[in-house]
Amino acid sequence: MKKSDQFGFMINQSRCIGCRTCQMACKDYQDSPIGVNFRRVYEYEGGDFTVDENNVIHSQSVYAYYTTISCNHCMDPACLKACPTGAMMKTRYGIVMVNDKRCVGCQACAMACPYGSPQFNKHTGHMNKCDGCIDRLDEGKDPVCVSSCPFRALDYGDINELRDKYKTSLASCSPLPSETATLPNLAIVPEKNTKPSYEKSGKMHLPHKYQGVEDDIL
Amino acid sequence: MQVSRRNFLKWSGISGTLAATTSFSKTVLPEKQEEFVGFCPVNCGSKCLLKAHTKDGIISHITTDNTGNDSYEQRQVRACLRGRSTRYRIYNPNRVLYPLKRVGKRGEGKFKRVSWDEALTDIANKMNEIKLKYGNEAFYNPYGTGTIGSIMAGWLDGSFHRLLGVYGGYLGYHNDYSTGQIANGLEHFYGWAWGGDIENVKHAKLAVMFGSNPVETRMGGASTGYSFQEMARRGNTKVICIDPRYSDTMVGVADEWIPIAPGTDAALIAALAYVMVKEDLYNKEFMDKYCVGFTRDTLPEGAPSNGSYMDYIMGTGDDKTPKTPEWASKITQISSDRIVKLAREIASAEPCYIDQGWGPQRHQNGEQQSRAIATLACLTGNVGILGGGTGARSGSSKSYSLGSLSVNNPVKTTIPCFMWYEGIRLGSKMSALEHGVRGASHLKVPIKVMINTAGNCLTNQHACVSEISKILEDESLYELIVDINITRTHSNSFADYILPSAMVFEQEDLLQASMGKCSTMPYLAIGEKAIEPQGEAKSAFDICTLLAEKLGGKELKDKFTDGKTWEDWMRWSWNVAKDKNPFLPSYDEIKRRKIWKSPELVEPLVVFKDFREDPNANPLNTPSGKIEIFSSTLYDMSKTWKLMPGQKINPLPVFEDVIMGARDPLRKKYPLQFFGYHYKGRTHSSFWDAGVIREINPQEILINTLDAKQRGIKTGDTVIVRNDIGKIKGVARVTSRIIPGTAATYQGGWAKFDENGVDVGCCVNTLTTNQPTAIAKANGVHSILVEIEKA
Repeated sequence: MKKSDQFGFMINQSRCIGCRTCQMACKDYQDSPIGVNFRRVYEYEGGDFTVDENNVIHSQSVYAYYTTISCNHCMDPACLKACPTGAMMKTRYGIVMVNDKRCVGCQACAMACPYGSPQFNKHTGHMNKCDGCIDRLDEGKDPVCVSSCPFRALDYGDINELRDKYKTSLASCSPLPSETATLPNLAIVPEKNTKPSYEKSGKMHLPHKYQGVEDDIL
Repeated sequence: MQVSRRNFLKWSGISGTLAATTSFSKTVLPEKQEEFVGFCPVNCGSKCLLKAHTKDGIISHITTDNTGNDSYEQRQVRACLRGRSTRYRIYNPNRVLYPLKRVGKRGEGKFKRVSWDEALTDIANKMNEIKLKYGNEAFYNPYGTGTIGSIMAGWLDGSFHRLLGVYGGYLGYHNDYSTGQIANGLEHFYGWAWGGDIENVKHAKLAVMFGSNPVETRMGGASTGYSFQEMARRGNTKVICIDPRYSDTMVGVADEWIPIAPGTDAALIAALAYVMVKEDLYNKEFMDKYCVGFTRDTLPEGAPSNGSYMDYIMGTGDDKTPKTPEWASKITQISSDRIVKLAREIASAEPCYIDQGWGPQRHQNGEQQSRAIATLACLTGNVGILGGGTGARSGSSKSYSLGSLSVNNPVKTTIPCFMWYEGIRLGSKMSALEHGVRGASHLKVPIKVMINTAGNCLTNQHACVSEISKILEDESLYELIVDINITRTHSNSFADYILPSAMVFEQEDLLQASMGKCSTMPYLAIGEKAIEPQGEAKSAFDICTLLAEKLGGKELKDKFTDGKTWEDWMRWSWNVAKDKNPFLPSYDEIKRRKIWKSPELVEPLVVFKDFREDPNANPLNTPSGKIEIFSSTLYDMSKTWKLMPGQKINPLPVFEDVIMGARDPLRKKYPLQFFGYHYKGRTHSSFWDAGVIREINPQEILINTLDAKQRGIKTGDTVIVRNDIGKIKGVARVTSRIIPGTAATYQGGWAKFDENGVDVGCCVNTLTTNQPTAIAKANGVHSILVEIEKA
């Protein structure tokens, strides 16, 4: 990738089986504490059953698919506009980064971002987010999440090249907002059931921290 | 270990944890490498490569295989999230760091730190005392698969088996917790239990997956899940999943979900067969030529005259019930229209790949379920052809077997692995005809010593946790329980001694691809030592070497090591594979190269191809040499074996009602069927110790939208799942991804009982019965009935 390119992610929903390896790989590499997840995997599911009095199913319309999302390094980043200190900046490869020295942890960026990308790190007092593994890009390596995917559902690169390569201009779907909000650098290859943004038939599931993960295990 | 670990976990980022544990790392390895190859050593059905990146002797992060161009033919063996969590397991606040000795009553979970010398001396003295009193059959090393490597293996053919072997032997086991019913069922059907490679999907017109979910159960990057997805895509194959759940195998490539009530697959198969016979859609030539017992003409001698499968499905058998689609629809919850359509669809697709996972067989009627699904593959003539399959679970095309440590066990008696608790409860009353003992008519003596290595099957992964706990707590029964592990588990709460085990990256070993039996790209690798073991942890080999000396002096020690060092054993193990396959690199070369992948894909395995081509020249390993729809062995067993109330052995693959099954009258009290299943966040109960995994893939209780509505339950509510056996508490996830009338949770949650006896760790086995299945004497733990309510 050239530093003047615009970095983007490709997510192939027809390959993603929701294993969350990308999330773990990122967490381990970026040393994110519990509660901070640069990448998250949204599950979207819906559908219904027609059941008779014997519990026999006569029809059903159940569906499900996954959307793995980190930061989309948007063309019009809501986080950047919301940041009162100028800590959020668009840098080489068009990557959106937090300048730790300037960030005061007010969380305005987190509230503005429709993708949940900036995350407050209570241990450091400032915001953390996906930086596209920018140091690895400088070395010519892939972002950690991309090279981790066991089902090859993730790719990255210059967004125009990605859209050509995967023949898709889709950048929004449920449960993500419409792309018009921030112009995300995202190329989505849809699953057979992928629904448009703001479609209400399904529900989003983001399993996080249900159980006391910080408790003793026994 | 009595000190709360909570403070450890109040970390300020992972580096906080690392700082806390660094003091345990004694030395930095002399050779200051930064990248080490290793692998994920647990029993998930894949087995993937890992790389540890170290800085100053501490692992900073884990990556995975990045060699080659990652084309499918040379695909990278990419580890899933479990393998990538390895750093969190190594530097884990729950890690067992020192030998621990029980203080207080057994099962209380109170331990104190002791020296290795004290622990091993005590253990050896006790073992020698018991050996003198009871003999070697009193020793048992239960099933456990938390560490499977070549030399470091904690289970079959690992150091502890070798030690017990040279010590004079031990009571062995047959079966395992994953495949007891299918292995025994299909042994009396095909003579063995595996299907062909999943790559057959590419050559099939239609793939029908019965409770088969490869993308979740075998998720690693070179393994079955990825192969399945890629092959279905390339072959443009239609895929139908018959499953109580809309599993993730449905996401992406699969075309249709047919929800089915758990444990009722055999009823569906009977109705499919009925339609195929009525409409003359089945492969008559195949059934006549290759099978016995489908029709009266091919029944073996001595069989009842109306004992054929045809009699069973057409209603001319003993039960006088035609297995019509209407009959099956009330049992399976699948509409009769859909059954008729499915029968036509399967019969007209040539070839049709028929695959079963291990879920349908993990029921009380599991042996019959597995044989029924295989019968469907026969009926449609798909056995022995490319793109077809046996109806068993997909298997491996090729793997290269490394040498393992084991020696001959002088004791030839074995018990079903699920039945070890009867080994103490019944002792010498435990028999072949009632409890499935093999190699002898009865046990000689009760089991007195349990050496549990890398396993959680004493309680958590067994069944009926409360019943089994009571047996273990009784110090007059098992006189010595030793547990070797990396972490505290619910099982080792019952140990007398817990010995700390070294992990991958703390010891060297060799890796052989995929225990999960699927690979057209076999690979081998070396696991390097990247860091010193945490605390006082030792490798299984080193523990056994020390224990051998305590048990029998230098003589036994030399017998155990065979005069070989660890490195010698590694070289020997590699050369076992190389001698058979001379094209493999030399041991010295693999040490340098670290990874070896087959340079080209091997051909996908088609099981029973030879038999299909010439059944007389290549008979199957069954009494008739043919496929036994009617099994004369089972027919004999049905007359001689002593069974539990309500149990039957049937020579035909019929649908049977069972305890806690879909039609048990108990369902009036406990209306929901319930089961546990493999989950991406864990392998059985391994990885629960890593907090990050519990954050990313937390434990949930899946309940159908319709059932949840009736009970006023919403996603995120804390609910209690209960039956007469136990109660578990967890967080509800209301979903349409499970069939109405059924709920489920992920197996492998760690049992943790509150003051009211409610399992807040959400371990499914708290709700399961300890009753073994009729034929295999295995764990039918997916047969569960419950009620669910808001806590």
